[in-house]
Amino acid sequence: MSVITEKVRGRGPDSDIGRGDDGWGDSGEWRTLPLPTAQLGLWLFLGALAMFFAAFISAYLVRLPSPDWRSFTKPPVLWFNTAVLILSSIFLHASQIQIRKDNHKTFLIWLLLGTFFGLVFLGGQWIAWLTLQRQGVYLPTNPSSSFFYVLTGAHGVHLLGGLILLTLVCLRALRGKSLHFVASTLGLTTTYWHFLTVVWLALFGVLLIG
Amino acid sequence: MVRETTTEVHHHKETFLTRYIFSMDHKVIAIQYLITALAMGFIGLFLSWLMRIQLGWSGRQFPFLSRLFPGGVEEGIIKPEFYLAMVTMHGTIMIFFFITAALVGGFGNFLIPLQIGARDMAFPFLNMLSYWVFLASCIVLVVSFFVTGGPAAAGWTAYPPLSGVAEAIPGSGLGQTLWLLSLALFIASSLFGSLNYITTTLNLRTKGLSMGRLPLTVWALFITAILGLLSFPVLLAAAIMLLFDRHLGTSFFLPRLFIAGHQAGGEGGNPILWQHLFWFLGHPEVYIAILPAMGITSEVLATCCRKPIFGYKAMVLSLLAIAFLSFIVWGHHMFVSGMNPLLGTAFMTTTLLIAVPSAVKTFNWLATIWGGNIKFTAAALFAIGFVSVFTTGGLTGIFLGNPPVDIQLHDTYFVVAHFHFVMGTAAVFGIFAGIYHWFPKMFGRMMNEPLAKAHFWLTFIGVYLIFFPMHYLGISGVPRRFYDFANYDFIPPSVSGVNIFISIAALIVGAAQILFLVNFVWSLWKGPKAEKNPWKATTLEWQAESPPPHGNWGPQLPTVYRWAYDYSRPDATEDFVPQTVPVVGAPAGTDGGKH
Repeated sequence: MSVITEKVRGRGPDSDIGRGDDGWGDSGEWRTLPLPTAQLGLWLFLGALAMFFAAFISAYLVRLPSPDWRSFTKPPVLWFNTAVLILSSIFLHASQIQIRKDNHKTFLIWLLLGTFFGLVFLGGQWIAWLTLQRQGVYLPTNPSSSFFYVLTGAHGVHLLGGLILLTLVCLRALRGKSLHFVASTLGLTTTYWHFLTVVWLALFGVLLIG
Repeated sequence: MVRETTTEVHHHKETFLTRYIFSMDHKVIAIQYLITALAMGFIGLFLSWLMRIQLGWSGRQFPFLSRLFPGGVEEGIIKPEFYLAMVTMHGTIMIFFFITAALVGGFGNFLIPLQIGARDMAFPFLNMLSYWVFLASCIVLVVSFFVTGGPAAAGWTAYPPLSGVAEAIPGSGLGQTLWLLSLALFIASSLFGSLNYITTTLNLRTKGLSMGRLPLTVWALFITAILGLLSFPVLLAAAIMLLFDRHLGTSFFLPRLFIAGHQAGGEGGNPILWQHLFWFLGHPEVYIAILPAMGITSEVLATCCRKPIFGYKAMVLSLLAIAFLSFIVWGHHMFVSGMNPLLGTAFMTTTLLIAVPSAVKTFNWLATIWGGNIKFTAAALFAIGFVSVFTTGGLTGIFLGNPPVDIQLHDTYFVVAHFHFVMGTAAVFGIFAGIYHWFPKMFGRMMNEPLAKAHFWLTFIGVYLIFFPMHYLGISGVPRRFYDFANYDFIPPSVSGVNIFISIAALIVGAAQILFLVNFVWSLWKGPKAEKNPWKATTLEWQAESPPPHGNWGPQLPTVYRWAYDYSRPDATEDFVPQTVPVVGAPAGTDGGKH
């Protein structure tokens, strides 16, 4: 992949004030981004998603100091979940490295491991919710619990989307479909997955202070 | 990225269904967006008529209204709660479903690929999805007119607790839930659109078309897409929390409330938090509505004045400056919310700063018109009209941006006058300028110019008659959103005369839009055939057929050799040089002789 930079000059010797075609107005440098279209689209989507979670986090931080806020003990399983999610990100990354080296077998092992750990994370989040319910902490109990359920829920839903994509990639890889297709889908999904891992770390961090 | 300038034109079989209904062609999607938006616009216009009937002739019976709205009108008199619902729906429909949808969904889809020399958007399927989700959001919103309690009535800003407690007013019930769902769908559709517009502009430009050679319409739509991409998700998060407050018993926004003696709503929630989240979208949203109209105005003015746009670079930089500033001014909607005065001052400063890039644009438009060989087409008239109403509304923005003045004028008709000029009519003038200008390219037929000019003059004079007197109402303290003005000591009785005047003007201007509708529909079938380039314009879309075929260009994509505004060059025989014309003595790939 290379960037085409082509000089195409388009002005005569005359120059009018206000014509605006001096400098970059008419430099004629033509350049598209060195980023494939699908990847660019994904990064833009992640920008929107970042704003979505930023809105939740800022609402949380604004609501946090109000007098009716009651803290509750966060289920310890969250620490385990966090470690699992980080590991799944690492596994997927390893799988991507292997696919670039054309190592079919190792690539598939890492991919399956990463996907499985993603599933374990979601299961762990579910257990965290059950733990809270057993403690009598429900969605409307207190703003602290409302935020806990909404933030983890919003993250979980997006992760579930990623998990569905990963499962599709796994099925295709198992069926021995074209590695090129698998590689491109896996690349995009992994970027999305890393993003969600970072979002989880941010969410977990702010949830711990509440 | 290496791309071929010669690409295969795909001729997959198209049925009626894939060509006109579930089409992935950006031009068809653009027209779908535009027509849906216009339909919504006429609904919004009709609602404004009903509001003006109530404000002009409060208490008088109009029996036909009872037949139209049996739930909202009793014995020919509009009920107060129905009036509030109309205020809400008029605002919501006009801002999101008409102006934003027509400018961004309509012109964004039509112009971006054509003006950058692409065959289509980067993600055609996503583009189709964007339209269908938008249509679903329209349907959900319109359906809410027919549910128990009627449509939402908490204003287009949906402030809780009015929007948060189902028993607050009739519209706070199912109507408000549908309103939130409709907005959520609209946000999803807007996200799909933004992803496409940005990616397409960055990655699919044809050979020779550097960012610095883009027409200002593409710049404006590109920047608008970035605004939408970053601001709409915030409203989505807020809408989700409000839905939770309404239906699942949480208290994000709802404080402890008592309605008729019993406790309703939540516990210790923060309604101001909603205002912050809402306006973090809400303010960029008004620029989402106006930036594309600015782009269209620039394009139309340059073409019709036969002059290069004045200060191209300054135009782009001021668009960027407005877009950036729009993210840090939202607090100026909340000066009376009990905000710390220090914070208010900060928001005042950023707000007043916006006057600078706005003025840069205005003066550049004037300088473009100055000394031009002006062809007063209907599009040109609407573009000049845009500059007029934008300036009028922009100047009152400087008043309202100051907390000491705003505290006096807040929630009065002064504000109504302000935003109807600067955003409402300005954006609508942009839409009309765009339709009159690009109709030949969209449909291959010309619109009727005399009818279009009559439409312009009635609308232009009319909007001043409607909205200018509202400044005086506002200064005399007349509050907005009130159902009627009798029996308030602080409202002078002379107000009723002004209101009747405004209502008559509004009815006439509303009726004048029928001229546009007739012209549009008639020209679709009976208008004279349009040639490739009827306005003798320079940009790429005028090098394609009218209307352009599927895939836009022949086997060869166009190559660009010059910027978008080569009008009246002293060294050229004609008064325009299309972007595709090579520079004599400077073949593609070489320096044009400068430096």
